[in-house]
Amino acid sequence: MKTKKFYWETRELVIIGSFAALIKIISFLVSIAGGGMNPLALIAKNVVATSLLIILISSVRKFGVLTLYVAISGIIIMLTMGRGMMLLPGLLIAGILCELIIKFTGGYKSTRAIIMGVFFFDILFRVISLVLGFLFTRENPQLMIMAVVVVSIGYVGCLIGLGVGSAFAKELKHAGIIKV
Amino acid sequence: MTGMQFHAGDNYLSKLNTLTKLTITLFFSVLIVFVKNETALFILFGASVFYVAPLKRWKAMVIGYGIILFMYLSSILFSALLGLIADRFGAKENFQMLVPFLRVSFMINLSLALTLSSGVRRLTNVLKTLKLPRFIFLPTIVVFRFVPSFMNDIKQIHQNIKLRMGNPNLGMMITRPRLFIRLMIVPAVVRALRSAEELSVAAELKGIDGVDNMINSTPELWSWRDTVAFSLSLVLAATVLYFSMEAV
Amino acid sequence: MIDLKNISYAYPFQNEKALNDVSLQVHKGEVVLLTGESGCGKSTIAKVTNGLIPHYFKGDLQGKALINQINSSDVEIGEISQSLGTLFQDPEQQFFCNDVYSELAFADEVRGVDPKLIYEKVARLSKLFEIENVLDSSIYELSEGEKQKVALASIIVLEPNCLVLDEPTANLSPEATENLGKEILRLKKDGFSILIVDHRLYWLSEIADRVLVMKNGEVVMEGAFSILESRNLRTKYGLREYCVPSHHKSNATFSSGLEVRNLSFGYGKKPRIFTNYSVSMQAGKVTAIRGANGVGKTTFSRLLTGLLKANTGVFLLDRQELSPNMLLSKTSLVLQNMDHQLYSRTVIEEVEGNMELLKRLRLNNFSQRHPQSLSGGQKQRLAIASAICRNPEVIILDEPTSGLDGENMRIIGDLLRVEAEKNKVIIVITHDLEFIDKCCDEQILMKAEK
Repeated sequence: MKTKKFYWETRELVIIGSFAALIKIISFLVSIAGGGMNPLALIAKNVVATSLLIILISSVRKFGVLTLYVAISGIIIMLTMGRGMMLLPGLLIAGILCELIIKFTGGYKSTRAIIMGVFFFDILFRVISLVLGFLFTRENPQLMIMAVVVVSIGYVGCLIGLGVGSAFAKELKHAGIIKV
Repeated sequence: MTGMQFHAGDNYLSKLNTLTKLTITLFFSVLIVFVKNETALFILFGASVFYVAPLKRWKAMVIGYGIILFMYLSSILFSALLGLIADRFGAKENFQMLVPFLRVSFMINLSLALTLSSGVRRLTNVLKTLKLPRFIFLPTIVVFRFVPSFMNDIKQIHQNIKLRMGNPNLGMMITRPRLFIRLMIVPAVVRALRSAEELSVAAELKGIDGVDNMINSTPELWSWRDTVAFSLSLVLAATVLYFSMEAV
Repeated sequence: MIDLKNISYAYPFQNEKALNDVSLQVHKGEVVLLTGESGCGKSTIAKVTNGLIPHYFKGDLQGKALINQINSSDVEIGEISQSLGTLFQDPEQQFFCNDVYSELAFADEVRGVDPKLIYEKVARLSKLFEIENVLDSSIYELSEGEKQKVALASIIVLEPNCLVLDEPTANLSPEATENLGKEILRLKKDGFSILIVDHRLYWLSEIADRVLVMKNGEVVMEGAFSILESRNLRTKYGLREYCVPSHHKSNATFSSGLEVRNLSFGYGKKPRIFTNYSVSMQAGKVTAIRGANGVGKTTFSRLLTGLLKANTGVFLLDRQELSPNMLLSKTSLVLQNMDHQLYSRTVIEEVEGNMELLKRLRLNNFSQRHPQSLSGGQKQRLAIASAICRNPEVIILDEPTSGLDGENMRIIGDLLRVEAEKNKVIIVITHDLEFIDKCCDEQILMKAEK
């Protein structure tokens, strides 16, 4: 049998692309069903996004998956919302850092390490985006405070999502849908 | 030629070079970050409606704008409430609704034009000519391929939720969050993982790993349309920047 | 030619072998049918033949799969598809592009073939398969029959001389199945070696040269198509009928049940699918609805369940008029794709703890399993059980038998009969003539509006 030519298998790249789209679509739909931008819908949206992210990493378990996902969703955000330029640096830096966190806290085989990684990713990219947003666009400070409040409410959803996501990942493995 | 009927479409949008459409979309996605002037955004939005018009997806567009508007309205309401609770945040006059709404609608128009008039094969060709590495272009192509087929899945999942619980709404999320999340997320994830599996098998059977040699059997030549599209884009960009400067 | 030598295989993390020392050959210009009950390993054979095992699905493979004397383990999947093409059960599954021309041209473009040659090939094949008029259509706009043709053409474009067809007729109407049969005969005449993996047998009686029957990962029987005429053999190995009766059932009696009066419906500004359509379905009976692909059967089922609102028309259940919302609460619909409907953590949870029902469906041994880990036939049974659990007065099944073996079909048929006897209205949308013959009492044939 021929040896593998690429670091990324086709299957893995396809899963990453699909999930980049899936996470955007589903969290958008949850926001709509939840009545727009209210605290509850915001939380629900982040529960879903974070848990799907955990499922993605659990299905690919390879160094670089988070960063690559972040890059692809950066492209999507850029093409659909015209904000990618502002978000992408923060996302990429957070992605790489958390990839290292996963690697050094137990590796991609460990669900706990993945949860740790996503936990820090969710904080880091929010903080970096807020800071960059503040420096870059010199928004009104009052709006910044508002943004911090909104982002913090969203983060509550992320925390719930960590639990929901790892439970789902376990279940999907049990069901034989996640094979690694 | 041989009596074959294949043609990409009759409107000017389909006749534009895919690379032209991609460049225009990327160019404006960068430019738009710097545009905060309402008049400028209105001009951009108006131009993009003309650009996307040949697709004739009026209904989808109106629904799309409606949803975006709804999202921003609700976020304003939420911020206003937040302002009431702690009145030192009450910077109501600073709420900008039109700016983000126009910005997103504008970008949605550009992306719709790109995706609906190009298709996976032409996009793969263009991304190949840009010499993007495999690990970037393959997932990007997958996004374009995944969205339309997943829309069909969403429809079915929605029907299934309706059959079991009624129309999805906030009340449902509060009163029966577990059931709601399961009905929505389990099928979505299962479908996404399974269709990713199918799609990668399809890609491998088509020989995607050897994509470095890829050629385009329907070469896209540079035409006067592309020159016009680029010139108009530049004029538009200049106008918009002029308005933005004036506002400062 | 296809030559499998002593193939044994176990999926990753599985102790049990999916295939045990299977050898088979398909010669030039020969059509071989591989059949057997669900889970017997016939789809695994298809995967070994086209190289997905071991290239895509890992696991433990022994033996050799030779395609034109080349061991498929030694070359890449993309290379194998130039000598052997695979047609899957759901053609959409193998489309990578989103328009027909691209689907046909893509594989050659990736290989860097001369554009002029690609253009000529696509022109020739689209004429041969009669898909010229859909070349610039989106793949989502095609009928099932057209999809199948496009998929077949997109394989042939690489000029292989071997083919594997994995349950190619599961989604096809009887007419489209007949057309596919003709295509296969033509390819056979052109010298292709063709391996067909299928539950449905009748359509191959004039096509298959040889039949192999599998059970538990082994080939247990081999011979001419006529060996399938033995009822004992079919029962023993859980097979379907070898021929399908041509008499059709009528829809004559009506005393009580579900009535539709003067139904009119169309999507948006598109042409009406129904104009003043009236029909009735008797309670206590299993009624089949059939008709060509695209005639509006699925739309009809959505109207009956209240998922879609009719433009005009009245729905009556036991002579009482129902609004769409009331329809929604009194009916249950089993959708075609199981992935969308099963959402619980365990099988028993999916049927709200009703062990009795699981027993009747022979799923009791799986009560603690995850629903998505079941086989196709088991999932279909479970989805139907879950619909029954909600105790609706009307149960509608949209294509419940695609890809079911003889045994599974019988179990589902029995279950529907029991439910019908509780004076419920059971409606089955299906192409499956064998299912209609065995399990349905009445039949409604839908025709396109002119």
